Parts: sequence; structure tokens; C-alpha cells
Amino acid sequence: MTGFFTLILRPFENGYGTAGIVFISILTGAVMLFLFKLTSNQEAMKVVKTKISAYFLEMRLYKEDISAVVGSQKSILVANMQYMKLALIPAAVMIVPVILIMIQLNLRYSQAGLQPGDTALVKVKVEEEVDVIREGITLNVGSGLEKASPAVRIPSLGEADWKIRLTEAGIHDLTLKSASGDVVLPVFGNEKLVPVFSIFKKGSISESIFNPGAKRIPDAMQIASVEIRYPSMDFNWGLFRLSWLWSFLIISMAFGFILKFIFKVE
Amino acid sequence: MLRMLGYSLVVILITVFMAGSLWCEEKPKLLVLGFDGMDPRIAEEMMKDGRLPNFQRLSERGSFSRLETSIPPQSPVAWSNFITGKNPGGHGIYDFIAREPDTYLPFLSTTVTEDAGKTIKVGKWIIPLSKAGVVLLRRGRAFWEILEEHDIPTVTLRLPSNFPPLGKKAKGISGMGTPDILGTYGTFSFYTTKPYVVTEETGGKIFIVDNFDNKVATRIVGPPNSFLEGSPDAEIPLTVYVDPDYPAAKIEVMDTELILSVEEWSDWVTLKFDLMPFVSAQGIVRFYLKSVRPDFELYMSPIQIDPRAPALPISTPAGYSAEMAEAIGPFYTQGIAEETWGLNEGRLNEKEYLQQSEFVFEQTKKMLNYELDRFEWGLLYCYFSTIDPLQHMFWRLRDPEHPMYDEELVEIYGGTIEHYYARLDSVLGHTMERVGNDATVIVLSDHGFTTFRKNFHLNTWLYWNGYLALRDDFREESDEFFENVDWSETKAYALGINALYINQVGREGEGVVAPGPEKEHLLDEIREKLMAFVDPETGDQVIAEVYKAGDWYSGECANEAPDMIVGYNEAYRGSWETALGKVTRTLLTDNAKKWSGDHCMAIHVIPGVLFTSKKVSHAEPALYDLAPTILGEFGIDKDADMDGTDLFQRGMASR
Repeated sequence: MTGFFTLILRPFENGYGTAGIVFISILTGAVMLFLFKLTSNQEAMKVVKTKISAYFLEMRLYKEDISAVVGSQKSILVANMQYMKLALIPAAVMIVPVILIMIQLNLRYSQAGLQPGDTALVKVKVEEEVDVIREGITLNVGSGLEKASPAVRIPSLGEADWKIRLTEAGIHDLTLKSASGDVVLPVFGNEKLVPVFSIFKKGSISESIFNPGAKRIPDAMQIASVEIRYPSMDFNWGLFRLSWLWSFLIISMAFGFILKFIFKVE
Repeated sequence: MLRMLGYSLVVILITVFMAGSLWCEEKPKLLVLGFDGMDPRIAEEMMKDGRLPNFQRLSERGSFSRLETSIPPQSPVAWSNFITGKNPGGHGIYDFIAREPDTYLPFLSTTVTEDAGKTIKVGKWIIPLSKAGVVLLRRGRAFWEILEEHDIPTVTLRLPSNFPPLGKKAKGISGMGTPDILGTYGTFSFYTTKPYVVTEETGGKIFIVDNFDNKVATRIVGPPNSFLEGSPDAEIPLTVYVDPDYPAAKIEVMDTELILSVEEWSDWVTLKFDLMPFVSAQGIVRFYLKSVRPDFELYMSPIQIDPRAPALPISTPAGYSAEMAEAIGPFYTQGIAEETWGLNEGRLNEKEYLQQSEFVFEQTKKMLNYELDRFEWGLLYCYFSTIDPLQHMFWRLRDPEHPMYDEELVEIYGGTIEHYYARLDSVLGHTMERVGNDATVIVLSDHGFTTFRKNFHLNTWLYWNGYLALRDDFREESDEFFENVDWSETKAYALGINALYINQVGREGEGVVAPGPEKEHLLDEIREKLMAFVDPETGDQVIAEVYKAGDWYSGECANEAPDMIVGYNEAYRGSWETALGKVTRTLLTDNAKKWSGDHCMAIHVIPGVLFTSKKVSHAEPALYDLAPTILGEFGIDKDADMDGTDLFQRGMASR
């Protein structure tokens, strides 16, 4: 999945994030519309929508007759419920790819890689009841990175933190050594809009779904998680800035709405 | 026929070319750099030694002269002269602080905060029904207001005495006079486990904290929350975790987590003070971790108004500060951003002060460069504050006779002032290169600088000479704001650094001196005695000149002026105690503060500088000549009530 998205978003990697989010949102809107059409009972939906229109018309025609208006409103409510019921299955089908797409977009467009000179917080959490000081965690950085602070170990939180600085662009290694083992993790310091993995945990099903492609912490280690704080990223739309999530939702829904008339989807 | 066509074509081309040339000529470029506090004597000495090559080049291309400053030579007054082209009688700014004649109480002279007129109480909230605001007290039209009327593109960066900033089309970011989010001119916070006796000091607040199990839990005090009854201070929790062994700590504030090593400054941290649902005030701060052992010491800068979401108006158009922050990153918005009080009160040392000052300097350069990138024509003004606060704080290292002269520090920081003069020279060189030879360049300072060795307690002098009376004479002193002063027996009093007032009948709350001959006689008498006063230790004249308001001020605000301005001699200055209306038991005291250079003296003691790329025709240019000169560059006549004259017009009559 990560590889597939890397492939289709490759043309936008070199600083064309806004174009990338527009492209993927339009594509998502179109695919979702297609899926909706495929998995929904279009005939039944058409009937329900026609009914709703008819009840509205009824309300306008008999607006002097209170009992008729109330009856129409009740019918509109019932018809709306029927429409929602009909939409339930397609929504349940669509939610899976939408979540997968959003996970991929989150990896690429929620955080920016570091620029040379930028610093980032490295936050290491140990397993419960492990003494962070006795665990003796040390952080080593390879070329392209430097340690910008000594460790700050907080036993009450089971946490050890460092500040690192990027000295040259690229993806560089950061090594954490502890009494229970070592792990090498990537630090993203490039201008390309590639997946930026910021949280590393031990392998699990939820990690495989929600943090796909991220390097895993070895099970034998007493480290529960490692987080590298990257600068957050948003998109400039001229008059306002929006996160990738709002940009994606607005564009994909707007485009889906436009296509719905073209492809006559109920 | 073809020949006719050819001639016509040539004529058309010439016409187009000439029109183009005229169009270009009609598009003048004027760059003005304001270097606060640049002293002509230092500049002359360094130019002579070849250490200011770009200033030298500019003076050779046009001119260099001393620039007459304002009376008194205080920055808000001086820059107001510059902005309006008027003497203080025209713009109404006479000091950093002014006084209410009825109550004798001081207020900040440049701005006033107006509360919302009507409010409604909903539960615990007090909802304003009309808008509260800040009003600029400076009168008179600013030169860029005139320029924008003529559609001249104008940018003024960090111009002092311009908060809230004026203008509609003109781009500007306010400078000196812009408060921090607390509404003060800059209040730092210092968190320490050291048991200090004081918790409030000039320019800062001390928070005594506990370091329990390497965790310091405290709070950041924000602005008063006027949406709640009694306006309690808005607060944000602040937690600091100290490593048990290493010299570093983690700071947690809101959703920001950052690591600082000892002796390290943080980047900008955004603070959001919730005032009521959906209403908050946003500020930015920088932390400096001074020490973690044996005592924990954390310095937090005054909370700046966040330029990305300003809680008060700091730019014109309103979105310009956010545009600038987008381009150069968040920046100091407080008027005087250098941490002078932190150094003065010993919370920061010289090295730490210079690190922070350098940050402000670089920030201003970035602002200037951002505008230079788009400067095609019109006016571009940029203000550099750096050497003014630097000279205030480091002059002691130039003056072996200063009580705070320190040879060890001289070894390290002795040449710092000259270093920054040279840095400004580089800024000038870079800027002149960027704007090209077609642009007119003006560089000015509002005043010069000199040593400040001794405090003169003017209220004490008035008391000792029978012009000021105390209610409880046995105390022989009065706390600030004239706490022990007997107004029924007081003829004169001092408030602010240079101002002296007569306790006048019909003007002051408990006036005793009749306006007219009685007052005039009293003024002359005090003036004569002050001018005759000599320092018993050195035999030097303490006061070089006393300026009577009637002789020096004219204009619509002249009636608001102090009755006299005391112009001190080199090495002397009105004391901090005098500025706040205190009476002390001693008349002259050594200046034992790091604030060791000053400019609140007689105007001939501390003139400013004026460098121009054009020849100046005037023999004695003054600050208020600059506004007419700037207007003149764009072919615009000065306002009739401006006092200054266009310096570039040859043969103009003197003022």
C-alpha cells in the first residue's frame, strides 16, 4: 500500500504537495463515487429521493393545512431514514479505502522533514515499571545529524528525551542503545514529500495498519515507543491555510459532488 | 511616403522613450535607515580610522552632519519630531511618561487604553458591548499618511512612537512603544529556586519555585482577564523536568515540549491564554535555561504579541505582521526588544544579553531584506534599535571613571559598541548595494550618547531649596508618586527624566503658584539656581541648560508641556527615583547600575547623526526637518504647521 502511494504520488514529491493533495483528493472523490454507485441500490435510492421531493411539494401545496404539513414532514423524515439505510452499506464499503488513503496521506502530508539547521525532539518511552535511568539508554547519531542536547531522563514519566539537529539533507540514522538491545531508526531530513515516520513502536496488527512501513522496535527491548517530533505541515490556499485532512475532505467531497451529476449517481 | 512613415516612427519612439524616462524619474526611491542612538563622535572616530567604510562612502557621496535632537532628547519625543516634522508642542509627546495635573499621577505618554464603554454580566463572564482599544496619543500627521494620500508606496519597519500604527495603505510594523501582552514595555519572568527577597523588580517578576524530585511545576502569568470580575491574571501551567545528572531540562507548556541545555535560548514558543470560551490572547516567548544546579534558574522573555495573530494592532494593514512572520518567522514585537532590564537586574549576564540582542538585530535585518526584495519605488524606512540599548548597558566599559567600570569585563566586551557600529556599517553597505545609486539614502539617529555616572535627584533638590514640601518632614523623603508631598506648600515638582512642573493654580489639583508673572519669576529663579549648581565632588556643572517651555515649544499641544526641561551635562542624568516622583535623602548618587550610558541630557551634549546621499543645504539640520525632506523627495509640499524645512532644497531660508 505504502509502495503504491509512493508510486502514484512520485510526480508530486519535489515540492508539489498542494498539487499532490488536489490530485489524490480528486482521485479519491471519483473512486468513492464509483464505489458508491457500485455498492448501492441506485433504483431504490432514486425512488426514495423522488418521494422526498414529492413530500416537499406536498408541503408547499397544502401549506394552509397544518395536519397535511405535519404528515409531509413525518414522511420526509421517514424517507430520509430510508435513504440513510440505503447508504449504510456503500458507506461501510467506502470507509476502508478512505481510512487507508488517509493513513497514507497522514504519513506524507502531516509533518515536514527537517531542514538543515532544524532541531527535533526525540522522545523515548520505556515499558511500564522499567527504570529509565537503569535502562541506560544512549542516543548516537550518524553523519548528517548532531546531538543538540544531553539526555533529559524523567523517571516519573518513564521517559528520556534528546534534542537532535539536522546538519545536512537526507535520511540519516539515529541509534538508540540500551541494556536490553539496540535499534536504528531513520530521521527524515529531505525536502521530498515522502512518508515521514515519526512514531516507532513494537510490531502489532494495529501498528501494521496505522503506521505501515515504519521500522519496528525489537520485542526484546524495554523501549515501548520512540517519537521524533517533526514540524507540522499545512497547505497554503491563498487566503487561508489548512491541514492536509481538511484540504482532503473538502476537495474530495466537492469533486465527488460535481461528478455525481455527470455520472448520474443518486 | 515610406520616409514619412519612418519619421513618424522615429518621433513615436522618441516620445515613448521620453515618456518612459519621465515615468522613471517620477518614481523616486527613498531609503531611510534609523539607527537609534548612533553617536556622531564615535562615528567620526571610527570613520577616521577607516572602520566605517560605507558611512564614509555615503558621506562623501552626499553629506554627514550632526543632527539636532529633540527637547528633551528621549526617543519617543525625538522620533515623534521625525514623524510629524514638528516640535513637541505640535505632537504632544514630551517624555516617556506624562502626568495627570489633577492627581499628579504619571501615565505612559504615547498610548492610552480605553476600556469597553458598556458591559453585560453573564454568569461569571463580563461581556463588553462596545470595543475596547488602544489610542495613540501623538498628535500631528505622520509623513507616511501624507505619502499615502499621494499614492506613494510606503513601508515603515519598527518605527518608534507609532503604536498603534497609523496608516491605511502604507505598510508598517510598530516599534518602540509597542507593549508586551501584559500591556507593559516588557516584563520578563524569572523562575528560580533561590530564595530572593523581592518578587518584583524593574522590568521583571521573580517566581520562587520548588524543584521537587527534579520537577518544577509553576505557571506563566498572562494578561489580566477583563472578561472575569476583578480581572484576575490569565495563567498557563508551566512544567520543567530537570535531568538528575546532566545540565539540561525539558520544558512543557501547553502542547509544546522542548529540550534546553543550560545556557541555551529556546526558539519561539506560542502561548494561548484562554480568556473566555472562543476568546483567547496569543503571545510568543523565548526561554533561557540559566542553571539547573545547585539552583534552578529559568528566564522567560516578556510575552510578545504574536505577529501571526496579534491581540493588539501592531501593523498596517492588519495582516502585514502575519505576512512578515510567514516570511521571516515569528519576531519580537515589543517596542524595545533588547533585554536591558534582565541585564540591569542581574538576571542575565553580558554574554546572555548580547546573544539576545544579536537575535533582535538579525530579525531586523531579515525584515529589511524581505522588503528590499520588493522595493521598486516609494519610501522604505527601517529602524535598528541595537546600539541604543547596547550603549545604555555597555557604556561603563568605555568610561574608566564610571562607577561600574570593570576591567575584567573590558577585556571581553570593551569593543562591543564599536563592533555593532561596524555591523551597522555592513548593513548600510549591503542596503546601498541593493537599492542602487538611483535611490536617495538617508541614515539618521535620534540622538547621540554619553556617559551617565551620577544620578541627580531633582525632587530632592527642589525640596532642599524650598520649592517642594513634605507632609512628614522628619522622614526627609517621599516614596514614589509624591506619596509624602505636601501640595499646599509645594511650588514645583519633577516627574519623568527631564520634566519639571510648576504647581500651578487652576491647572494642578492643588496648585499654589498663579500663572503669569509669579510663575515666570519662579521659573527664572529655579532655572538660574539649577544652572549654577555644581557637583561638590568634582566641581563640574551638573545642569548644562534648562529649557523654558514658552521659549522652545509652539503648536496645538504646547499647553500640555512641562514648564521646564532640565538638560543635564555630560555624566549626569535625572535619577530613576525622580522619574517616578520620589524624594530621596541624597542629592547626587553614583550610578551603580549597568544602565551606564544615556542621552537624556542637554541637546548640545548628545546630537544625533545625519548621513545623506544628497548634499544637505542646511547648516544645522534638525530631526523635524526629515519629514519635510522625505515629502520633498516625492515632490510633495510639507504641511503648513510643520516646523522643519526640506534639507535638500538649496537656498532655502533657515527656520
